[in-house]
Amino acid sequence: MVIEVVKVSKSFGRIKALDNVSFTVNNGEVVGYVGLNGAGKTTTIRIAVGVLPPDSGDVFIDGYSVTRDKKRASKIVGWVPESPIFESEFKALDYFIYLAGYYGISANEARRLGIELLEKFGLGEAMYRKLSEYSQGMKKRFALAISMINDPPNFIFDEVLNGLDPRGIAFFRELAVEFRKRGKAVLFSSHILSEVEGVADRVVFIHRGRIIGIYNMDEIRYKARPALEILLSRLDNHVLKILEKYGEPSIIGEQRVILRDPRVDSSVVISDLVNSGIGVLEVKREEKSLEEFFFSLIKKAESDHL
Amino acid sequence: MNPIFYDFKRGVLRISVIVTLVIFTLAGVGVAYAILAFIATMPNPQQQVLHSYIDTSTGEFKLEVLLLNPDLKPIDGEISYKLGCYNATTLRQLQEDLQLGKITPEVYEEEFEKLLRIIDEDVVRSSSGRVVVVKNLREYISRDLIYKLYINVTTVYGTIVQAIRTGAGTLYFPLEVNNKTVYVLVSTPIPFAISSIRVTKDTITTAPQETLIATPIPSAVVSVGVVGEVEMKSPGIVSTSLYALGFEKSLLITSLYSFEDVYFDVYIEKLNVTEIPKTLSINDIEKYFEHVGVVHSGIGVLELNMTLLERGLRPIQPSLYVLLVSRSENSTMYAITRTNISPLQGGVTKMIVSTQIVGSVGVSLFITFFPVIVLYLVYIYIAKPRAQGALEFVLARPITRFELYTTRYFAGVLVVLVATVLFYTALVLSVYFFTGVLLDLYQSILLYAGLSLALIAFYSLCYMLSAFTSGTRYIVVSVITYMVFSILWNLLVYLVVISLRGFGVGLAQELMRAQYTSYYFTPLGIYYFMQYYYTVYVTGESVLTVESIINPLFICISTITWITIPVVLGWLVFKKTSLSG
Repeated sequence: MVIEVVKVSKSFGRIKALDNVSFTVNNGEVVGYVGLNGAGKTTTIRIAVGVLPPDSGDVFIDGYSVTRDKKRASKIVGWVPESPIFESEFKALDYFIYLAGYYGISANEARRLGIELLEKFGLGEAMYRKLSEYSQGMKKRFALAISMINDPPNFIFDEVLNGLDPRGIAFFRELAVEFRKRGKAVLFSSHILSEVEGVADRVVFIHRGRIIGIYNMDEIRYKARPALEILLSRLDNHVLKILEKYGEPSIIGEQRVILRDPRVDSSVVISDLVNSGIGVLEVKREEKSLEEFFFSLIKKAESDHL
Repeated sequence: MNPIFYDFKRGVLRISVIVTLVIFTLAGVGVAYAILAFIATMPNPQQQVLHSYIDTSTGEFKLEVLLLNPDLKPIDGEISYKLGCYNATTLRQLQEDLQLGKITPEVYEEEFEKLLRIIDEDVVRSSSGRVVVVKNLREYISRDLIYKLYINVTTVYGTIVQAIRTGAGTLYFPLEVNNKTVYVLVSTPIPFAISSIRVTKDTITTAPQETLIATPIPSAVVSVGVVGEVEMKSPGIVSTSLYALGFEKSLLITSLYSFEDVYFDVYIEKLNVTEIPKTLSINDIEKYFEHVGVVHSGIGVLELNMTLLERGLRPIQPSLYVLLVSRSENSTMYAITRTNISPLQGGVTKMIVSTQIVGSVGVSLFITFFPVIVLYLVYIYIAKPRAQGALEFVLARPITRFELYTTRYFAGVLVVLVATVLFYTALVLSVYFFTGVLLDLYQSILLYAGLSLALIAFYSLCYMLSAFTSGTRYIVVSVITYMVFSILWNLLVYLVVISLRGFGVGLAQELMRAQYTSYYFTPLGIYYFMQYYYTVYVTGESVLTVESIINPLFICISTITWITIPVVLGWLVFKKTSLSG
């Protein structure tokens, strides 16, 4: 248990940004943190990295409280924000050296490390350029290099794939997977569930400042697997029996049925039904199943809240 | 590396801060120049010693000048001179016509200019305060003419200009020996005494003959004898000035012209001698006189280990006999002057310069305008990165919010201290370079403490403002704050006082009292208090009205309050504020 968010609440004026948020990210685990824009992901993360004090609750990094033992906690957590902002009149390597000073690293050592990390993250040719000249992707890589100053065992990526080109997206995804392999605890936030699909082991869903569900990725995939929605001329046990041969049917209307996880192409199912004398009036294939799952969670949370 | 020094270092390494530091340093030099320019507008306190002659038989013209600062120390400068000559008879006629009202001054000037003929002119820079010019002007020299020297002297103390149009130059005095005429000019600083050189076999007449105690008008300095008509038959002439430099040292300045280039022993009347006989034998000189040195033709400066002052800085006697004697096998040449003792107030130069350093063109200029740089420092350290949201990424490092707040505060304080040191050192060294005046430790501590503490207090105030506002709003608020405390403060105090009590007797004192009282309530107040202590130290004069207001304990409390309270208030806001921009 390395990143532990415990009953964190935070309000901005009258707006309750976080309401009793709790979850954990374990060693060697990538946890997706998914919610719509404004759901509270960034607020949670800013509290978790110690730059925003919570109204109540706390975040523990390897057991160190970010509110009471902030220096120790900050030393063992890396953070790549969605839109990193630096004192942009600095040149990249100079700013690296400056920030490395807070880790107790001497200027010479910081320079050596800075050159090494900036080259590693593809900024070798830009390390003497001013940060104001950096693109979003470069800024994220620079923030990553800074966060890697002491190679912390915990990492938080906040909407890091936003605004990146496909190469940048692949880079950060692979990085998260590599971190997991190296036993780090990684929190990976996004407002798109499918973005974290390939990397996350678990997903924490947040909506309007409240956690609305925590699921393993396999569980989500299972619940959000592809389906065929079929409108039939009639719906009875005979029809269900036919459909059970190809997947998991469930009735969603008078003549409407959903066939989850179809094992064959839809044409096979349709021809079998038609050959059995059952009229098929309409067939729809659900493609965005992960997002559907996400929205169903939101819908459920909102109806529960009401 | 300690984050404070790291922030200081990275703060200093910003182009903007480096430019600031260069500005501070240049400002030091600039202010020194401004001080000099201001001193140059004051009544000119510099002195010079002149020795010049025109030998009509050989045509040789020699000019020797020694430039002195108000403390009578050699100082370098530039001399531009013009040697003019006139027909003696015509000039005398012209002067008579002016005196009798036959011609107007305008006509006199016109006619004078027609009469004047410049036979030599030049511009020469001194070396170690001295200028020596030797030329041959044989073709221009005639015994029928009279000669005047117009000399403009420029040093850091300004320029002494002699008007040529009105003929306000220094007149050469004609001496005749062995049927040869030499026009001579000897001049030492006021007050001086002049005597011709006489020849004797065995006795000295102590009653000075052909000697004048100078009038305080420089143009009338060597009007010895009758202008241009009577040549004095004498082998030479000497001018002497005697200054008491404090209780232990004295200075005798001589300007001597002698036909023969021989050495003269210089004697000064013994202080324990009650009366010197009117005539005395050469062999008795040492009974009445004390030998103090040797001079020869030209300018002489003798430092005397004599106490010429008594308590209260009054001369022991109003004047003393100064005797110059040159003995040879056949005869003895001597000159005797009764020279006034002038007590020279020690450290005149230093006082003038020291006073100007804190004057309106000195450090006060710095304290008026440099808070702008301070508010800019706060802008680049806190207000701007906070507005951008850049502080959040810094705060994600292993540093607490309090440390972030304090390291940047102390980094700024260090920049202020270093900038003030640079400014102050540049100022003091420049002033020293130009004037030779070096402020002492106490003066330095007062000024440096006043400057740096005032700027730190203002920095604290701006730092607090940066916690309440950020970005452009900070700029607006801090500039208004600067305007109020740095530019408008005295005016506001005056307006309040005048609106409360109106105009009337004692307003000036009331204003001064209110002004100094108000300094407890401004972050820059400490500077004005230190400036007051500095002025009292330099001039030795305290102001009763201010003394009733000024209190070291209150000054300490006020300064500490102005430095600490804004920082604490700022922290109370900063610790809760969002840094996300």
